[in-house]
Amino acid sequence: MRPPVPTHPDDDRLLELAYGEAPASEARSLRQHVDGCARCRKVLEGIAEVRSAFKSVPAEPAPERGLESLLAYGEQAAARARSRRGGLRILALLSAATAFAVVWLVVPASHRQVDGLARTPANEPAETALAEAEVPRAPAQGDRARDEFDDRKSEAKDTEKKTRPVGAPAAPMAKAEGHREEQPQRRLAAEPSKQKELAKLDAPAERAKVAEAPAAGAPADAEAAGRSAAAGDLSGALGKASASGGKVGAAGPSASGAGSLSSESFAMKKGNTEGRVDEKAHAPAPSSPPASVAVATPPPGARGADARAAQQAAKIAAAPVADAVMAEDKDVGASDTAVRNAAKPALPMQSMRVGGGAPEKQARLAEIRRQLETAKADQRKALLAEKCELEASLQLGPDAVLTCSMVTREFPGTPEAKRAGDLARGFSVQLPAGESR
Amino acid sequence: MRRFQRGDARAFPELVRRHRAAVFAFVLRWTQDRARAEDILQETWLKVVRASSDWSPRARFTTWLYTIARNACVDGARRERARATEPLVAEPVSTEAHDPERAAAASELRPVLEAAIAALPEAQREVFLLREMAGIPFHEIARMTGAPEPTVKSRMRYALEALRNRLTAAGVDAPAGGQVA
Repeated sequence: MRPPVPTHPDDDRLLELAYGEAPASEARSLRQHVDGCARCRKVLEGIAEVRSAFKSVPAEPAPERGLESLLAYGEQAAARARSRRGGLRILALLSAATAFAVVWLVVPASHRQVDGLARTPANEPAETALAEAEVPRAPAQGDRARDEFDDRKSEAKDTEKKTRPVGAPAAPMAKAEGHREEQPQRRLAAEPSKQKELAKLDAPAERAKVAEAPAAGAPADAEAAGRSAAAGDLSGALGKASASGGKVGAAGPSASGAGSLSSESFAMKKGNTEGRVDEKAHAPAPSSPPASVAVATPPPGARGADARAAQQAAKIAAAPVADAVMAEDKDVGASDTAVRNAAKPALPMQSMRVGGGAPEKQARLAEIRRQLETAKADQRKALLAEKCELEASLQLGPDAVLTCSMVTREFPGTPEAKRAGDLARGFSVQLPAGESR
Repeated sequence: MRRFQRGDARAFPELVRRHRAAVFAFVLRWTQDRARAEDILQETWLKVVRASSDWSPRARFTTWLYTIARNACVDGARRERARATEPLVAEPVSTEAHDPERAAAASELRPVLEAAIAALPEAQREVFLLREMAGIPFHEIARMTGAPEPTVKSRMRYALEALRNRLTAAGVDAPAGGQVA
């Protein structure tokens, strides 16, 4: 004997079962119930009957009309997407380079101030000499970068001027950029021969020279910047420097963190907004300074307000492109995406009509749209034909194709239909200047 | 769709090939008017192209596509009501089945079924077509239409019940093989 049948499940549950949307565990218990319940079985059979009847009627084939122009329009859109992606990449590279340049030019000021502060005590321990000796290199780096970017980065130049006027005392912000100082330190450790040269630069007269003649330090820096990319070498050099017992050695832990800057800091930042820019900048870009990698590393621990401002300036410079790139591959919550995506296409057609053109034509189009609401037969034909012409002349691609196809469909065989067909076809296959298929 | 977003020109014809007929069938059953259905079909695909950059891979393409089609149908119906012209006479829908037996059965069933679907209230027809033709789950239909999921399900139940009553009243036997999914 069967066990007593429990209360009937909700009809919605049965509906879910019929459409395979009930969770597996629930579906099992529902089926068990349905097996022993005539009422629920009947409900399910009723659903199945309708579904079966519906499926037995074959669907209408889609019309061929409009297909050709649609495919041509799709091809055109794909070409546009390709060129847009290419353009965005270039823009991203340029913007990232600008952002790095801004930070790059701001940072060296810190070194000078740190240097000044550090050398205030009269009796300095001998081991600090090494750390100090490398400090004056920073302005040279900054000047080199300025030389490189001056001609095409006026924005960066302005920022640099505001932040660090030539010959002016270094801004306190850079003091907080201790993390960034480690790079030159490591570079120095890697090349003891440079220490002497840098020690010379430590002299006030030399430093003034560097400040006045920014290009002077460029060749050496280019060389050093190239080396800075080799993280493995840096860590090895750092080990040597530590063994010597200098200040560089004291900077070991953080320096080793920075030692990974050539690759790891990039990887870490890929997840955030700046990461996008960094990623692009990481691609071979002859103009981007290699050491900018260190500059872009988020400042550790306590940072001065000015340091944050410098970072902010870089972000602002990079933001538009970062946004554009983000928009390209935007990542949104799965649950709402369909609805959000659909919300845009669901907008009225008018909202998408952004093509430029003579105001009178636009006005006439609006007038035609109004008249079309009530127009009949011949009047409708004339209006649609005019609309088709106008939209084509205004380069409103999709609208023109749609309107012209309406003319051809609604008034086949008429001269207007022929003209509209020509316009739609002609419009669909034309590519804007500069674009390739 | 992702390929199309990236500018692959071959991707769009593939999308059209896969989905255009189904979307047309959906729109035609919604509008019950071939000419209007053709316009809406074209409009839907143009919107797909224009809005392609907004589509996210996390969304099911079919859900997105049918949302566009559904919105175009709703807008089209609204425009039709506003136009205030003489009522349009729907063209008789042709039977295109190749299998003679199936064609015969379909020719008997189709007008009854089409009339039954046309007689459904718009809210019920919408849910029925989205679920039955587009295969969109109830919870997604709820998001698309902005109605709570239980409401969507009750609309579906009412639609199924009404269709069944119509078919029974017309003396149409449901074809064999109807099974619970």
